[in-house]
Amino acid sequence: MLRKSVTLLCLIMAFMLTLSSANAAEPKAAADQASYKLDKKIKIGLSGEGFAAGQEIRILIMAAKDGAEYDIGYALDPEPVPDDAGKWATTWDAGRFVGKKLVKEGANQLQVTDADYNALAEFTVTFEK
Amino acid sequence: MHKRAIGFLSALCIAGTAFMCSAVSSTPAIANPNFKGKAVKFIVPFSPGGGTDTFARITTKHMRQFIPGKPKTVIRNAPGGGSVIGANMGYKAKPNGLTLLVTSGSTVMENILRSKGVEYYLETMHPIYSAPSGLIYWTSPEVIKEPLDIFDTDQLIFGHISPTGGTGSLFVWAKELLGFTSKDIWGYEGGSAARGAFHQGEVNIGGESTIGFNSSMLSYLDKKEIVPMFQSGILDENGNVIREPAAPDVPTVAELYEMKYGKKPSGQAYEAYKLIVGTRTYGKAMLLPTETPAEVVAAYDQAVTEMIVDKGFLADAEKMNPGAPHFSGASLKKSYPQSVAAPPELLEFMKKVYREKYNATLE
Repeated sequence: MLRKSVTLLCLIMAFMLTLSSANAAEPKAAADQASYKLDKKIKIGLSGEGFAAGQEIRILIMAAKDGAEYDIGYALDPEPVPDDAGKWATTWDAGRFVGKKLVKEGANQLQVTDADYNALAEFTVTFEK
Repeated sequence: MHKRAIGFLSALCIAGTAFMCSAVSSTPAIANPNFKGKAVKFIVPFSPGGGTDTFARITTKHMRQFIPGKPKTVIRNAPGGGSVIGANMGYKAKPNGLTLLVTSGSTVMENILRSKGVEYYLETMHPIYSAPSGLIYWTSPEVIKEPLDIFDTDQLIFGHISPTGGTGSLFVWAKELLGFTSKDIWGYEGGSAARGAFHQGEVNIGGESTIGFNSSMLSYLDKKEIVPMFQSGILDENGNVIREPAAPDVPTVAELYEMKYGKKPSGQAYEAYKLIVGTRTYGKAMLLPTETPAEVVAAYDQAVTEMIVDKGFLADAEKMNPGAPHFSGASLKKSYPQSVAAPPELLEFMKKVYREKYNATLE
Protein backbone atom coordinates (compact mmCIF):
# COMPACT_ATOMS: atom_id res chain seq x y z
CA MET A 1 0.00 0.00 0.00
CA LEU A 2 2.76 2.37 1.02
CA ARG A 3 4.81 1.48 -2.08
CA LYS A 4 1.85 2.31 -4.32
CA SER A 5 1.30 5.59 -2.52
CA VAL A 6 4.95 6.64 -2.87
CA THR A 7 4.95 5.68 -6.56
CA LEU A 8 1.77 7.66 -7.13
CA LEU A 9 3.23 10.63 -5.24
CA CYS A 10 6.39 10.50 -7.35
CA LEU A 11 4.36 10.39 -10.54
CA ILE A 12 2.28 13.38 -9.44
CA MET A 13 5.41 15.34 -8.51
CA ALA A 14 7.08 14.51 -11.82
CA PHE A 15 3.94 15.62 -13.68
CA MET A 16 3.79 18.90 -11.74
CA LEU A 17 7.47 19.58 -12.34
CA THR A 18 7.03 19.02 -16.08
CA LEU A 19 3.97 21.25 -16.09
CA SER A 20 5.67 24.06 -14.15
CA SER A 21 8.79 24.02 -16.32
CA ALA A 22 6.63 24.14 -19.44
CA ASN A 23 4.71 27.11 -18.07
CA ALA A 24 7.71 29.05 -16.71
CA ALA A 25 8.75 31.56 -19.35
CA GLU A 26 12.48 31.56 -20.01
CA PRO A 27 13.80 35.06 -19.17
CA LYS A 28 14.63 36.91 -22.33
CA ALA A 29 15.56 40.45 -23.28
CA ALA A 30 15.97 42.46 -26.45
CA ALA A 31 16.63 45.89 -27.91
CA ASP A 32 13.77 47.62 -29.69
CA GLN A 33 15.52 47.90 -33.06
CA ALA A 34 17.62 45.60 -35.20
CA SER A 35 20.46 48.15 -35.33
CA TYR A 36 21.43 51.65 -34.24
CA LYS A 37 23.66 54.41 -35.55
CA LEU A 38 26.97 54.93 -33.72
CA ASP A 39 25.75 58.31 -32.53
CA LYS A 40 26.87 60.17 -29.39
CA LYS A 41 23.22 61.01 -28.65
CA ILE A 42 21.81 57.53 -29.20
CA LYS A 43 19.12 56.21 -26.86
CA ILE A 44 18.15 52.55 -27.01
CA GLY A 45 14.94 50.94 -25.82
CA LEU A 46 15.48 47.67 -23.94
CA SER A 47 12.86 45.29 -22.60
CA GLY A 48 12.52 41.85 -21.12
CA GLU A 49 10.01 39.24 -20.02
CA GLY A 50 9.95 36.04 -18.02
CA PHE A 51 11.71 37.54 -14.98
CA ALA A 52 10.66 37.19 -11.36
CA ALA A 53 8.34 40.03 -10.35
CA GLY A 54 10.17 42.76 -8.42
CA GLN A 55 13.55 41.04 -8.78
CA GLU A 56 16.62 43.33 -8.85
CA ILE A 57 18.18 42.99 -12.27
CA ARG A 58 21.40 44.46 -13.66
CA ILE A 59 22.42 44.84 -17.30
CA LEU A 60 26.04 44.31 -18.35
CA ILE A 61 27.81 45.03 -21.59
CA MET A 62 31.07 43.48 -22.66
CA ALA A 63 33.03 46.62 -23.59
CA ALA A 64 34.98 46.88 -26.80
CA LYS A 65 38.10 47.83 -24.79
CA ASP A 66 40.13 45.48 -22.58
CA GLY A 67 37.34 42.90 -22.33
CA ALA A 68 35.84 44.87 -19.44
CA GLU A 69 32.29 44.20 -18.33
CA TYR A 70 30.29 47.33 -17.53
CA ASP A 71 27.13 47.52 -15.44
CA ILE A 72 25.20 50.13 -17.42
CA GLY A 73 22.67 50.75 -14.64
CA TYR A 74 23.53 54.44 -14.20
CA ALA A 75 22.59 55.09 -17.84
CA LEU A 76 19.20 53.34 -17.68
CA ASP A 77 15.98 55.26 -17.17
CA PRO A 78 13.80 54.09 -15.56
CA GLU A 79 15.54 51.48 -13.42
CA PRO A 80 14.42 48.14 -14.89
CA VAL A 81 12.19 46.29 -12.40
CA PRO A 82 10.06 43.35 -13.59
CA ASP A 83 6.34 43.96 -13.04
CA ASP A 84 3.83 41.39 -11.77
CA ALA A 85 3.90 39.73 -15.20
CA GLY A 86 7.71 39.56 -15.15
CA LYS A 87 8.12 42.24 -17.81
CA TRP A 88 10.31 45.34 -17.74
CA ALA A 89 11.29 48.13 -20.12
CA THR A 90 13.89 50.87 -19.96
CA THR A 91 15.91 53.26 -22.10
CA TRP A 92 19.69 53.11 -22.30
CA ASP A 93 21.43 56.45 -22.88
CA ALA A 94 24.35 54.91 -24.75
CA GLY A 95 25.93 58.14 -26.05
CA ARG A 96 28.85 58.12 -23.63
CA PHE A 97 29.66 54.51 -24.53
CA VAL A 98 29.66 55.47 -28.22
CA GLY A 99 31.74 58.63 -27.65
CA LYS A 100 34.37 56.77 -25.64
CA LYS A 101 34.43 53.83 -28.08
CA LEU A 102 33.32 51.35 -25.42
CA VAL A 103 30.87 49.90 -27.93
CA LYS A 104 31.88 48.75 -31.37
CA GLU A 105 30.40 48.63 -34.83
CA GLY A 106 28.51 45.34 -35.25
CA ALA A 107 26.98 43.13 -32.57
CA ASN A 108 27.67 43.98 -28.91
CA GLN A 109 26.91 41.35 -26.30
CA LEU A 110 24.72 42.33 -23.33
CA GLN A 111 23.63 40.25 -20.38
CA VAL A 112 20.76 40.60 -17.91
CA THR A 113 21.83 39.37 -14.49
CA ASP A 114 20.58 39.18 -10.94
CA ALA A 115 21.98 41.48 -8.25
CA ASP A 116 25.06 39.23 -7.86
CA TYR A 117 25.74 39.33 -11.60
CA ASN A 118 24.61 35.75 -12.28
CA ALA A 119 23.42 35.58 -15.89
CA LEU A 120 19.68 35.37 -16.52
CA ALA A 121 19.45 36.26 -20.21
CA GLU A 122 21.65 37.43 -23.07
CA PHE A 123 20.98 39.61 -26.08
CA THR A 124 22.82 41.80 -28.55
CA VAL A 125 22.71 45.43 -29.61
CA THR A 126 24.02 46.10 -33.09
CA PHE A 127 25.61 49.39 -34.10
CA GLU A 128 26.35 50.60 -37.59
CA LYS A 129 28.14 53.68 -38.91
CA MET B 1 9.46 -0.54 4.52
CA HIS B 2 7.63 2.23 6.32
CA LYS B 3 10.74 3.09 8.35
CA ARG B 4 12.87 3.04 5.23
CA ALA B 5 10.54 5.51 3.50
CA ILE B 6 10.61 7.84 6.49
CA GLY B 7 14.39 7.57 6.54
CA PHE B 8 14.61 8.46 2.89
CA LEU B 9 12.28 11.44 3.28
CA SER B 10 14.24 12.62 6.32
CA ALA B 11 17.48 12.42 4.38
CA LEU B 12 15.83 14.32 1.55
CA CYS B 13 14.73 17.04 3.96
CA ILE B 14 18.22 17.33 5.48
CA ALA B 15 19.84 17.49 2.06
CA GLY B 16 17.29 20.05 0.89
CA THR B 17 17.83 22.19 3.97
CA ALA B 18 21.59 22.00 3.52
CA PHE B 19 21.24 22.96 -0.14
CA MET B 20 19.01 25.91 0.70
CA CYS B 21 21.39 27.08 3.40
CA SER B 22 24.33 26.96 1.03
CA ALA B 23 22.31 28.72 -1.63
CA VAL B 24 21.33 31.68 0.56
CA SER B 25 24.70 32.07 2.24
CA SER B 26 26.74 34.84 0.68
CA THR B 27 29.50 35.16 3.24
CA PRO B 28 32.88 34.36 1.70
CA ALA B 29 35.11 31.76 3.27
CA ILE B 30 37.09 34.09 5.52
CA ALA B 31 39.89 31.70 6.49
CA ASN B 32 40.86 31.16 2.88
CA PRO B 33 39.07 33.70 0.67
CA ASN B 34 38.20 32.39 -2.75
CA PHE B 35 35.97 34.20 -5.20
CA LYS B 36 35.55 31.46 -7.79
CA GLY B 37 32.24 31.80 -9.61
CA LYS B 38 31.60 35.22 -8.06
CA ALA B 39 31.65 38.70 -9.53
CA VAL B 40 33.71 41.49 -7.97
CA LYS B 41 32.23 44.93 -8.48
CA PHE B 42 34.44 48.03 -8.84
CA ILE B 43 32.41 51.18 -8.20
CA VAL B 44 33.75 54.06 -10.30
CA PRO B 45 32.14 57.33 -9.17
CA PHE B 46 32.46 58.87 -12.63
CA SER B 47 31.10 58.26 -16.13
CA PRO B 48 32.70 55.60 -18.32
CA GLY B 49 35.68 56.52 -20.47
CA GLY B 50 37.27 59.16 -18.22
CA GLY B 51 40.61 58.96 -16.40
CA THR B 52 39.39 57.10 -13.32
CA ASP B 53 37.33 54.72 -15.41
CA THR B 54 40.31 54.01 -17.66
CA PHE B 55 42.46 53.39 -14.58
CA ALA B 56 39.82 50.93 -13.30
CA ARG B 57 39.35 49.21 -16.65
CA ILE B 58 43.02 48.60 -17.28
CA THR B 59 43.82 47.63 -13.69
CA THR B 60 40.93 45.18 -13.31
CA LYS B 61 41.81 43.58 -16.63
CA HIS B 62 45.03 42.38 -15.00
CA MET B 63 44.04 42.18 -11.34
CA ARG B 64 41.33 39.55 -11.87
CA GLN B 65 44.00 37.02 -12.89
CA PHE B 66 45.51 37.27 -9.41
CA ILE B 67 42.43 37.45 -7.17
CA PRO B 68 41.84 33.98 -5.61
CA GLY B 69 39.35 32.07 -7.76
CA LYS B 70 39.81 34.47 -10.71
CA PRO B 71 36.34 36.01 -10.36
CA LYS B 72 34.52 37.98 -13.01
CA THR B 73 35.08 41.74 -12.54
CA VAL B 74 32.39 44.30 -13.28
CA ILE B 75 32.80 48.07 -13.49
CA ARG B 76 29.80 49.90 -12.11
CA ASN B 77 29.85 53.61 -12.88
CA ALA B 78 28.01 55.79 -10.39
CA PRO B 79 28.64 59.39 -11.50
CA GLY B 80 27.27 62.52 -9.86
CA GLY B 81 27.96 64.99 -7.08
CA GLY B 82 31.62 65.32 -7.99
CA SER B 83 32.12 61.60 -7.22
CA VAL B 84 30.34 61.82 -3.84
CA ILE B 85 27.37 59.62 -4.86
CA GLY B 86 29.50 56.69 -5.98
CA ALA B 87 31.99 57.07 -3.14
CA ASN B 88 29.18 56.94 -0.57
CA MET B 89 27.95 53.77 -2.28
CA GLY B 90 31.39 52.14 -2.19
CA TYR B 91 31.96 53.10 1.45
CA LYS B 92 28.64 51.54 2.50
CA ALA B 93 29.04 48.36 0.44
CA LYS B 94 29.00 44.94 2.14
CA PRO B 95 32.54 44.24 3.40
CA ASN B 96 32.69 40.80 1.81
CA GLY B 97 35.43 41.41 -0.76
CA LEU B 98 32.94 41.60 -3.60
CA THR B 99 32.85 45.41 -3.86
CA LEU B 100 35.71 47.90 -4.16
CA LEU B 101 35.64 51.67 -4.55
CA VAL B 102 37.82 53.33 -7.18
CA THR B 103 38.67 56.97 -6.38
CA SER B 104 40.21 60.03 -7.98
CA GLY B 105 41.79 63.19 -6.57
CA SER B 106 38.32 64.77 -6.49
CA THR B 107 37.00 62.00 -4.25
CA VAL B 108 39.89 62.62 -1.86
CA MET B 109 39.37 66.41 -1.91
CA GLU B 110 35.71 65.97 -0.96
CA ASN B 111 36.82 63.65 1.86
CA ILE B 112 39.27 66.25 3.15
CA LEU B 113 36.84 69.17 2.95
CA ARG B 114 33.90 67.12 4.29
CA SER B 115 31.63 68.82 1.76
CA LYS B 116 27.86 68.58 1.96
CA GLY B 117 26.65 65.05 1.21
CA VAL B 118 29.98 63.33 1.94
CA GLU B 119 29.21 60.27 4.05
CA TYR B 120 32.40 58.34 3.42
CA TYR B 121 35.67 58.30 5.34
CA LEU B 122 38.48 57.17 3.05
CA GLU B 123 40.97 57.08 5.93
CA THR B 124 39.03 54.15 7.48
CA MET B 125 38.93 52.09 4.29
CA HIS B 126 41.59 49.62 3.08
CA PRO B 127 43.65 50.86 0.09
CA ILE B 128 44.98 47.93 -1.91
CA TYR B 129 46.45 49.72 -4.92
CA SER B 130 47.20 53.28 -5.95
CA ALA B 131 48.99 54.99 -8.81
CA PRO B 132 49.77 58.72 -8.95
CA SER B 133 48.12 61.06 -11.36
CA GLY B 134 49.50 64.59 -11.09
CA LEU B 135 48.24 67.70 -12.83
CA ILE B 136 49.81 69.95 -15.44
CA TYR B 137 48.67 73.54 -16.19
CA TRP B 138 49.46 75.42 -19.35
CA THR B 139 48.59 78.66 -21.09
CA SER B 140 48.94 80.34 -24.44
CA PRO B 141 52.27 81.67 -25.84
CA GLU B 142 50.48 85.00 -26.40
CA VAL B 143 50.20 85.32 -22.61
CA ILE B 144 53.58 84.09 -21.33
CA LYS B 145 56.84 82.81 -22.77
CA GLU B 146 58.05 80.89 -19.71
CA PRO B 147 56.63 79.84 -16.34
CA LEU B 148 58.10 82.79 -14.37
CA ASP B 149 56.15 85.21 -16.60
CA ILE B 150 52.92 84.35 -14.76
CA PHE B 151 53.96 86.83 -12.06
CA ASP B 152 54.08 89.72 -14.54
CA THR B 153 50.77 89.44 -16.37
CA ASP B 154 47.13 90.26 -15.61
CA GLN B 155 45.84 88.38 -18.66
CA LEU B 156 45.49 84.89 -17.20
CA ILE B 157 41.99 83.34 -17.30
CA PHE B 158 41.39 79.91 -15.80
CA GLY B 159 38.19 77.87 -15.94
CA HIS B 160 37.13 74.53 -14.51
CA ILE B 161 34.37 72.70 -12.64
CA SER B 162 34.76 74.14 -9.14
CA PRO B 163 37.47 75.57 -6.85
CA THR B 164 37.16 72.49 -4.64
CA GLY B 165 37.35 69.90 -7.43
CA GLY B 166 40.51 67.98 -8.29
CA THR B 167 41.93 70.28 -11.00
CA GLY B 168 40.37 73.45 -9.56
CA SER B 169 41.70 72.97 -6.03
CA LEU B 170 45.35 72.56 -7.07
CA PHE B 171 45.07 75.73 -9.14
CA VAL B 172 43.51 77.62 -6.21
CA TRP B 173 46.30 76.60 -3.83
CA ALA B 174 49.03 77.23 -6.39
CA LYS B 175 47.66 80.79 -6.68
CA GLU B 176 47.53 81.17 -2.90
CA LEU B 177 51.10 79.98 -2.50
CA LEU B 178 52.69 81.66 -5.51
CA GLY B 179 50.76 84.92 -5.38
CA PHE B 180 50.00 85.41 -9.09
CA THR B 181 46.67 86.74 -10.32
CA SER B 182 44.08 85.29 -12.71
CA LYS B 183 40.42 85.65 -13.54
CA ASP B 184 38.68 82.37 -12.67
CA ILE B 185 35.53 80.97 -14.26
CA TRP B 186 33.84 78.11 -12.40
CA GLY B 187 30.90 75.95 -13.38
CA TYR B 188 32.08 73.96 -16.39
CA GLU B 189 30.30 70.62 -16.56
CA GLY B 190 33.44 68.54 -16.66
CA GLY B 191 37.08 68.32 -17.64
CA SER B 192 36.28 67.97 -21.34
CA ALA B 193 34.05 71.08 -21.23
CA ALA B 194 36.88 73.04 -19.59
CA ARG B 195 39.31 71.80 -22.23
CA GLY B 196 36.83 72.88 -24.90
CA ALA B 197 36.71 76.35 -23.33
CA PHE B 198 40.49 76.59 -23.70
CA HIS B 199 40.39 75.57 -27.35
CA GLN B 200 37.55 78.05 -28.03
CA GLY B 201 39.42 80.89 -26.31
CA GLU B 202 36.97 81.43 -23.43
CA VAL B 203 39.85 80.80 -21.04
CA ASN B 204 43.59 80.79 -21.65
CA ILE B 205 44.76 78.39 -18.94
CA GLY B 206 44.15 74.68 -19.20
CA GLY B 207 44.65 72.01 -16.55
CA GLU B 208 44.77 68.28 -17.06
CA SER B 209 46.00 65.13 -15.39
CA THR B 210 49.43 64.07 -16.60
CA ILE B 211 47.79 61.06 -18.22
CA GLY B 212 45.32 63.30 -20.05
CA PHE B 213 48.01 65.87 -20.95
CA ASN B 214 50.26 63.23 -22.48
CA SER B 215 47.42 61.78 -24.52
CA SER B 216 45.76 64.99 -25.72
CA MET B 217 48.06 68.03 -25.35
CA LEU B 218 51.56 66.87 -26.32
CA SER B 219 50.99 67.69 -29.98
CA TYR B 220 50.14 71.31 -29.03
CA LEU B 221 53.31 71.46 -26.94
CA ASP B 222 55.40 70.12 -29.82
CA LYS B 223 53.96 72.82 -32.11
CA LYS B 224 54.67 75.44 -29.41
CA GLU B 225 50.97 76.33 -29.26
CA ILE B 226 50.96 76.05 -25.47
CA VAL B 227 53.41 76.95 -22.69
CA PRO B 228 53.48 74.79 -19.53
CA MET B 229 53.08 76.87 -16.35
CA PHE B 230 53.60 74.34 -13.59
CA GLN B 231 52.72 70.85 -12.43
CA SER B 232 51.34 69.65 -9.12
CA GLY B 233 54.13 67.14 -8.68
CA ILE B 234 53.71 64.05 -6.53
CA LEU B 235 55.02 63.10 -3.09
CA ASP B 236 58.02 60.82 -2.70
CA GLU B 237 58.20 58.26 0.10
CA ASN B 238 59.53 60.92 2.48
CA GLY B 239 56.70 63.35 1.76
CA ASN B 240 58.77 65.66 -0.47
CA VAL B 241 57.22 67.13 -3.63
CA ILE B 242 58.94 65.82 -6.76
CA ARG B 243 58.27 66.10 -10.51
CA GLU B 244 56.24 63.32 -12.06
CA PRO B 245 58.37 61.02 -14.21
CA ALA B 246 55.95 61.57 -17.11
CA ALA B 247 56.52 65.36 -16.99
CA PRO B 248 60.22 65.81 -16.29
CA ASP B 249 60.53 69.28 -17.86
CA VAL B 250 57.70 71.09 -16.09
CA PRO B 251 58.48 72.76 -12.72
CA THR B 252 56.37 71.92 -9.68
CA VAL B 253 54.52 74.71 -7.90
CA ALA B 254 57.08 74.44 -5.07
CA GLU B 255 59.98 74.79 -7.51
CA LEU B 256 58.37 77.82 -9.16
CA TYR B 257 58.02 79.40 -5.72
CA GLU B 258 61.72 78.88 -5.08
CA MET B 259 62.59 80.27 -8.51
CA LYS B 260 60.55 83.41 -7.83
CA TYR B 261 61.26 84.06 -4.16
CA GLY B 262 64.66 82.42 -3.71
CA LYS B 263 63.63 80.35 -0.71
CA LYS B 264 61.72 77.18 0.04
CA PRO B 265 57.98 77.58 0.51
CA SER B 266 56.40 77.26 3.96
CA GLY B 267 53.26 78.24 5.86
CA GLN B 268 49.62 77.17 5.73
CA ALA B 269 49.19 77.75 1.99
CA TYR B 270 52.17 75.46 1.38
CA GLU B 271 50.70 72.83 3.72
CA ALA B 272 47.38 73.06 1.84
CA TYR B 273 49.20 72.70 -1.49
CA LYS B 274 51.14 69.68 -0.21
CA LEU B 275 47.91 68.13 1.03
CA ILE B 276 46.49 68.43 -2.47
CA VAL B 277 49.66 67.00 -3.98
CA GLY B 278 48.97 64.03 -1.69
CA THR B 279 45.50 63.70 -3.20
CA ARG B 280 47.16 63.47 -6.61
CA THR B 281 49.77 60.99 -5.39
CA TYR B 282 47.24 58.61 -3.84
CA GLY B 283 44.06 59.85 -5.57
CA LYS B 284 43.72 57.04 -8.10
CA ALA B 285 43.17 54.21 -5.67
CA MET B 286 41.20 51.02 -5.12
CA LEU B 287 39.75 50.53 -1.66
CA LEU B 288 37.92 47.82 0.25
CA PRO B 289 35.19 48.84 2.72
CA THR B 290 36.14 49.58 6.32
CA GLU B 291 34.88 46.37 7.95
CA THR B 292 36.43 44.01 5.40
CA PRO B 293 37.99 41.00 7.20
CA ALA B 294 41.79 41.05 7.41
CA GLU B 295 42.06 37.78 5.47
CA VAL B 296 40.18 39.29 2.52
CA VAL B 297 42.35 42.44 2.59
CA ALA B 298 45.44 40.20 2.67
CA ALA B 299 44.17 38.23 -0.33
CA TYR B 300 43.78 41.44 -2.35
CA ASP B 301 47.18 42.72 -1.17
CA GLN B 302 48.73 39.51 -2.45
CA ALA B 303 46.88 39.85 -5.77
CA VAL B 304 48.25 43.38 -6.23
CA THR B 305 51.76 42.30 -5.22
CA GLU B 306 51.67 39.75 -8.04
CA MET B 307 50.01 42.14 -10.50
CA ILE B 308 52.53 44.97 -10.21
CA VAL B 309 55.40 42.75 -11.34
CA ASP B 310 53.42 41.19 -14.17
CA LYS B 311 54.84 42.11 -17.59
CA GLY B 312 51.43 42.51 -19.22
CA PHE B 313 50.23 44.86 -16.52
CA LEU B 314 53.43 46.89 -16.54
CA ALA B 315 53.20 47.36 -20.31
CA ASP B 316 49.65 48.72 -20.03
CA ALA B 317 50.49 50.88 -17.00
CA GLU B 318 53.46 52.37 -18.83
CA LYS B 319 51.18 53.42 -21.69
CA MET B 320 48.83 55.10 -19.19
CA ASN B 321 51.41 57.05 -17.21
CA PRO B 322 55.06 56.43 -18.13
CA GLY B 323 57.41 55.92 -15.20
CA ALA B 324 54.69 56.20 -12.57
CA PRO B 325 55.30 54.18 -9.39
CA HIS B 326 52.80 51.62 -8.09
CA PHE B 327 51.80 51.87 -4.44
CA SER B 328 50.59 48.82 -2.52
CA GLY B 329 50.91 46.81 0.67
CA ALA B 330 52.09 48.11 4.03
CA SER B 331 53.70 51.31 2.72
CA LEU B 332 50.45 52.35 1.00
CA LYS B 333 48.44 51.57 4.13
CA LYS B 334 50.81 53.75 6.16
CA SER B 335 50.91 56.75 3.77
CA TYR B 336 47.31 56.73 2.57
CA PRO B 337 45.38 57.81 5.71
CA GLN B 338 47.69 60.82 6.18
CA SER B 339 47.04 61.95 2.60
CA VAL B 340 43.25 61.86 2.62
CA ALA B 341 42.46 63.87 5.74
CA ALA B 342 43.58 67.29 7.00
CA PRO B 343 44.51 68.49 10.51
CA PRO B 344 41.60 70.58 11.89
CA GLU B 345 43.48 73.89 11.89
CA LEU B 346 44.58 73.43 8.27
CA LEU B 347 41.04 72.49 7.28
CA GLU B 348 39.70 75.66 8.94
CA PHE B 349 42.26 77.76 7.08
CA MET B 350 41.31 76.16 3.76
CA LYS B 351 37.60 76.64 4.41
CA LYS B 352 38.21 80.30 5.27
CA VAL B 353 40.05 80.89 1.99
CA TYR B 354 37.33 79.10 0.01
CA ARG B 355 34.63 81.08 1.82
CA GLU B 356 36.23 84.52 1.56
CA LYS B 357 37.92 84.37 -1.84
CA TYR B 358 35.80 81.89 -3.80
CA ASN B 359 32.39 82.24 -2.17
CA ALA B 360 32.43 78.48 -1.67
CA THR B 361 30.59 77.27 1.43
CA LEU B 362 31.35 73.63 2.06
CA GLU B 363 28.81 72.78 4.78
